[in-house]
Amino acid sequence: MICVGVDAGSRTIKVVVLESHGLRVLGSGVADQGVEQNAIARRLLQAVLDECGILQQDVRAIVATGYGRKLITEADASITEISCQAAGVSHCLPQARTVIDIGGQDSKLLHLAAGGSITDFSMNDRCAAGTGRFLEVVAARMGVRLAGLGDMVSRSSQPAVISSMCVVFAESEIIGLLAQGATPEDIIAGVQASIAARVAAMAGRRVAPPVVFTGGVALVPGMSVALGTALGEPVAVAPDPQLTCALGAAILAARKSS
Amino acid sequence: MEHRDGLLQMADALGIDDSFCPVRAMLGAFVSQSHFPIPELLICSVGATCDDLSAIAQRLEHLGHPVFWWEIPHRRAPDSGEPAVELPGGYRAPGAQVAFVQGELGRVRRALESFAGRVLTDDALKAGIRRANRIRHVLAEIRRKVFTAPSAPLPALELLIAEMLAIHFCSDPVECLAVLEDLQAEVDRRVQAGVGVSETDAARLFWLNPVADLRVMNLLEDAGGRVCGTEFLFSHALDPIPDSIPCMEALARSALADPMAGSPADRAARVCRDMQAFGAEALVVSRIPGASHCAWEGAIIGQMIRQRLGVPVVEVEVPPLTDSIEPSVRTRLEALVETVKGGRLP
Repeated sequence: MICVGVDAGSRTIKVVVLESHGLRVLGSGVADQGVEQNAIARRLLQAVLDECGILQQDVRAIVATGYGRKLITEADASITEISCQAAGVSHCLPQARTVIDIGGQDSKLLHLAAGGSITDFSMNDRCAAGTGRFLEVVAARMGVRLAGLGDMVSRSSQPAVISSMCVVFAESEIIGLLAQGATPEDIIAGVQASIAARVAAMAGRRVAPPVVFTGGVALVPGMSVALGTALGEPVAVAPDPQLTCALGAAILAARKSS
Repeated sequence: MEHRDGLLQMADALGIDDSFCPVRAMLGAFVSQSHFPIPELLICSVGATCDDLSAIAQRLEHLGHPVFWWEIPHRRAPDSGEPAVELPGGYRAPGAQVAFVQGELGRVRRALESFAGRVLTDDALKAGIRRANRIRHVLAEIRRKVFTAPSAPLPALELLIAEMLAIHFCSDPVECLAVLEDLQAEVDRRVQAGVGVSETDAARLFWLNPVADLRVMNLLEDAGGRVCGTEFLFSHALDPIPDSIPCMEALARSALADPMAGSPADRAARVCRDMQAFGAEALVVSRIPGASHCAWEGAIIGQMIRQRLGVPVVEVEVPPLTDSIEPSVRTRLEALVETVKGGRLP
C-alpha cells in the first residue's frame, strides 16, 4: 500500500512516498514554494511518483501538513506539522525526547514521550529572529550562499553579539557591525548564535535529551553546533531533516488508512 | 464599537498607543462621544489592578472627566499568627487588608451618596448583593453544565459573552438575569436532548485570559476542542459575595479576591483546581498585546500548570484583529487538540 505525505512549508514543498507495510521510503522530492501551492505540490508528487514507477491510482492515502496544508486538495486529511514532525522523528530516531524544528518562517520545540507521543510543544511564528528567514537575510546581505555559512562560521574567531530582537533591526545592526570592521565570519557566527539563543529561550529549562534537530535550517552547516551550545545539550541532526515532517505525514497517512 | 470606528487611532493620538491593552478603545469612545452616554463620574481603582485601565483613566481625568480614585492593595498571604480572613474563591488575606479595602469602599460609598444626593442604605446594598449572587448562581450552573456535559451545549464564544455579563450586567441586572435564565434553560434542553456543539471525544481545553478578537474563540471548536474551564481575569465576579456578614465587609472580601489583586501563583492554583474539577486536558494561555497582566502572568501560570498537572500548554497571542494570524492560531489549537488526543491512545 502506498501512502504519501505532503509538507507545504513556507519556503519549500516536500513530498515523501512511503510503502506503508514496512514504512519504507520509496521516493521523495523538494520544490520551491510559490503562489500556486496546490499546483506545485501536484507536479512534485507526480514527478516523485514517476521516478518511483508508481501510478497515481495506486496511492492509498495522502496527508498534507505545513502551513499550506489546507490548500492541498489532493490530500485526504490535513494534520499539523507538530504531529507530523513527531511521527517522522520518532520513526527515524525513536529515542528522541526533544525535537527542534527550524523552518523558513517559524521554529518549534516538541517534547516527546517514549513511543513518540507529544507531551507538549511551543511555537515561535510571530518573529523571524529565530527562523531560517534570519539566515537568508544575512546570507543575502553578505553575498554568500546558505551552504557556505558553515565554512564561514568555522573561520570565526570572535562571534559578533547580535542584540536586536527583530530581523529588520538586526539587519541594521549588522550593517553597523560591518562598518565597525567586524568580519563576515564573525557576523555569521553571531547570527547563528542569536537564532540558537532564541530557540533556547523558547525551550526554557525543559530540554530532555536526546535532542534532535529538523527542518530546512538543520541543513545549514554550523547551526546544530550553535544550538547545542545554547541548549547545553548535544544536538543530533535528523536524517534528511528537511523531509521528516513529510515523512511523518506519510506515516500518519498509513496509520489512518490501515 | 467597531474597529472601523477608529477608536484605537483616537487613543493613539492621545498618547495611549498600542503598548497598552486594546481596552484603550474606551478612551477613543470618550472622545468620539458616540458609543455610550458620557458618565458624570468615573470610579477607578489604583494599586493591584489593571494598570492599563488606570493609565487610561488618568488620561481621561486630564481631559476633564472627573474620576474618584480608590486603592486596592496587592493581596498577600497572612503572616504566621496574623489574623486572616477567608475570601471567595478559596483565597485568604490578612484581616488588615480586608479592613483597608472596606475603608476604601466606604469612601466610594460616600462619594456615590454625595453625588446622587441620597443615602445608599445597607438594605439597598444587600438587595444588590442578592441580585448579583442570583446572576452568579445562574452563571455557575451554566458553566458547570457546559464544562461537564458529554457534548458541550454552548460554544466557547457564547459562554465568554455570558460570563462577561457577570462584570457589568449590561447595566441592567434584571434584564441580564432574564437573559441568563433563558440561556440556562436552553443549556438544560440541549443537555437533556444530548445535543451540543462538540464531538463527545473533543479535546477538553481550559481557556485562560480574555481575547481581543472574539472570533478566535470559534477556532476552539473548529480545531476539534471544547471549552472545559475558563479564567478570564474576573473569576471573583463569578464567586458568590458572602451574604452572612456585613455588606461592606462582604464587598471588600469580594474585591480582594480579584485575580488581578493577587499573585500569578494564586491564579495558577485556582486554574489547577478548576482544570481538575472539570477534567480539562490542556491549557490555552491567551495573551493580548499590550495587556500587562497577560504578558507576564500567562507564561508563569502556564509553567506552573505544566509542572503540577503535566498537561500540554499552548500560548496564543490575540490582537484586536486576527485576520493575518488566524492560520497560525488555528495551527496551534489544532496541534494542541492532536496532542491531547494522541496522549489518550494506549
